[in-house]
Parts: sequence; structure tokens; C-alpha cells
Amino acid sequence: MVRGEGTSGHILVVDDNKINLMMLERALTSQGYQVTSAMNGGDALDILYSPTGETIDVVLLDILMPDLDGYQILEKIKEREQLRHIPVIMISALDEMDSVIRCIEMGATDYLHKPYNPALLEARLNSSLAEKRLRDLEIEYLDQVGHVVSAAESIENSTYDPESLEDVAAREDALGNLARVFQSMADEIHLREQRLKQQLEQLRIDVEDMKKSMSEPLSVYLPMDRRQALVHGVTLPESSSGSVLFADISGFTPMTETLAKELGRKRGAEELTRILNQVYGALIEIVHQFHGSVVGFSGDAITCFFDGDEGLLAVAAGLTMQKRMAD
Amino acid sequence: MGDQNVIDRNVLDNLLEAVGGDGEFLTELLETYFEDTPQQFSAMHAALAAANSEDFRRAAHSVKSNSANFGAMGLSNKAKQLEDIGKEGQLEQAAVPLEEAEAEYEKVKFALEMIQKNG
Repeated sequence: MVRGEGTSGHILVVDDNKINLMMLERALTSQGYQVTSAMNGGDALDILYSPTGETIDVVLLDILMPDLDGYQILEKIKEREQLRHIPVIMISALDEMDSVIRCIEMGATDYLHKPYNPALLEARLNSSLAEKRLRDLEIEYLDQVGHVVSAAESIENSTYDPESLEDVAAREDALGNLARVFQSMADEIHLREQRLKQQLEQLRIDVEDMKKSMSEPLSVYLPMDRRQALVHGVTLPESSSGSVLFADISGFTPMTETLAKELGRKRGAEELTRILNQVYGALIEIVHQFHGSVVGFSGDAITCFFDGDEGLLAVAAGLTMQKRMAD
Repeated sequence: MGDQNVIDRNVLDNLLEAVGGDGEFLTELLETYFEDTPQQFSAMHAALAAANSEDFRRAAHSVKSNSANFGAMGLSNKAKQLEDIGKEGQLEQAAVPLEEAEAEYEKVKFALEMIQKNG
């Protein structure tokens, strides 16, 4: 049961004696404390283990109780990480000094004799509350140091959240200052990272565009009138980029001499023309295969233009021509 | 029968002061005491019959503590004697002091009721 909504501290009173409980509740609420009461150990632990337990600042604990006694409750409080920092003041009779000593050895903060002296009750509570608040501050400090450490790790993992240090940066002490400096540096790193990501994304888009344009037929970049002008050797009015391939037949002259010698001049010339037509046919096919245009023929030589090409298509066409001729 | 011998008025006055002079609350406390103490004596008799010294001790402890709150020091001391008997497991020695404590309680109750009535 919760009585009083004071702001100076939340006290859990554990006592199986109804009169003691009534008197303590009365004294504590009149002193401005929020009071939660339990008449046995089981109820006390239920409260401490519940979310309400996190708000308890001090436990006033009777020693002699049925079932779970004060020692057992104290032991359970001290063995639990989330509760062990809560100050426990033992409630005892004057003749229970041995029990009190045992409780202090087990981790109790202080003791209070029955019947209660209101001034002594307040003094001991204030002392325990001051200790609790100091401990809470220490826990909060360590927790916030943990936030800064986590923020540093999150930068490494690229999961940094710029708002994760807001609470720590709001502090007015050295840790707050550290958090603000860290936050500023982390923000800068975060922004740089964002910019880099954007640049990378733009680069990826550019590469995709380039790949796309490479897969399109080259002829789309060369209008028909321009292609005809090239074929007919007309000078173009504007500059253009591309690759030019010159190719001729290796060993052409000795071959003409051999044909003339073996078949005579007339038959040799006819055979040579047939061979040239066959070779040119194959070469033209290769030029078109690589999206080029034949500019002209001269004897055994062929001149081709690959519009927009930076050399790769011309080289590929040349190598293909060599392979075809070897076959 | 006056209250001088059974109730320490200073303790009772301190209690009243501790509850902020709230007479109604003091009455509420006394009513709880009058309701609870006979139950504790019954618990002591039951514990004696069951030879349960721990239950006997706890009930005696409660009477000792509550009686001291109201300045009933004689009854508190008698209950302390009973508590020690329970603590040492010597329940065979309990019958006489228990009877004395119950008689003392009747005096305490009467005295406290008189104080309530007369202020």
C-alpha cells in the first residue's frame, strides 16, 4: 500500500506489527516522504522486485517477522544487483543489539530503536537518503560514461545516432563538456561520411549510365549523312571523337606476284579480285559487327571509323580481322 | 485503580507528540492495540499447546513492542520475559509469567481507557 506522495524520498516500511506500521507511516508522511508498506517479507520482496522497487530510496526493515524475517529479506536485497545500493535501516527493539550488529555486518546501513524518536528517525533517513542520492548520481555518471563509450563504438560500426548523447551533453560538468566536444567531432565525421556516401552513390549512377551507353549501338551517335560524308571522304565541319582503323593484307604483294606467275597476268588478276572481294566482304562484316563504318578502300587496305570509341572497338575489330584472316 | 503504576505518562505524551498531537490517531492506535493484544495472547497459548517456541517468542515480542509504545512498561517487561522464554525454548516456564502478563494487560487496558476518557 502506498501512502503519501512526498517528494523528499520513497520509503518502503516492512513490519508485521500493525501498530508500528501505522506509527511509521504517520511519522514519515508527515515529514513529506512517500511511503509504501509491507506487513511481511513476501510482500516486501514483491514490491522490491516490481517496477515500484526501482523508485524505493530507503527500506525500513523489522527484524523479527514470521516466514521471511529481516535477515532473509536483507540478504535478498543485497544479493540482487539492482537493489543492493538501496540503504536498509533495521527496526529493532532496544534489547536486540546483537541482531542489529549482525544486520550491519550483512550490509544494513543503520538501525532505529522502537519506540521511534521522530527527530532521530528523520536524521537517519536523511543520512541514508543522502547516501542513496550520491550512489544514484554515481550510477548515473557511470551510465553516461557508458553512453559516450557506446557512441565511440557506434562511430566505428557506422551506427552513430547524433541524438544518443543529448542527455550527457546537457551536463554542466567535465563529462558534459567531453560529450559536447565528442558530439561535435562525431557530427563532423557523420556529415563527412554522409557526403562520401552521396558521392559514392553518384559515382555508382554515373558508372551505370556509362555501362548503359556502352551497350547501345554506336551507330546511334553517328547520323546517316555524317556517315556518308565520312565514306565519301568529305571534310566534316565540326570536330568529332572516335577511332580510326587502317588494315591491309599481310604479304599482299608477294601473293599478286605468285598469282601472276602461276596463272598468267589476266587469270591472276581475276583470281586476285575474287580473293579481295571475299576478304573485303569478311572485313566489312567485322567492322559493322563492332559498330564501325568503312571509310574507304585503297588497294589491299581498308580504312574504318568507329564513332565515339576510345580505341577499344577499333582494337577489337582489328584483332577479329586478324583471327578471321588466320582462319 | 490509577494509571500511575501501569502507564508511563511521559512515554504516552511523547507518542502523542510524535503523531503531531492528533488525538484521533492516538485513539485509532489504541483501538488497534486493544484488538491486537488479546490475539497475541491467544497466539501464545496456541504456541504453548503446540510447543512452538518461535511462534511464542514472536507473539511475546509484539506485545512487548506495542506496550512500550503506549508507556505500558510493566507489561512490556513481562512480555520481554516471555519473549526470552520463547527464544531459549523453555516453554515449560511460560505458564505463570503468561498469566501475570495477561492480568497486567487488563490493568493497562483499563488505565489507557481512563486516560482516553479523562485526558
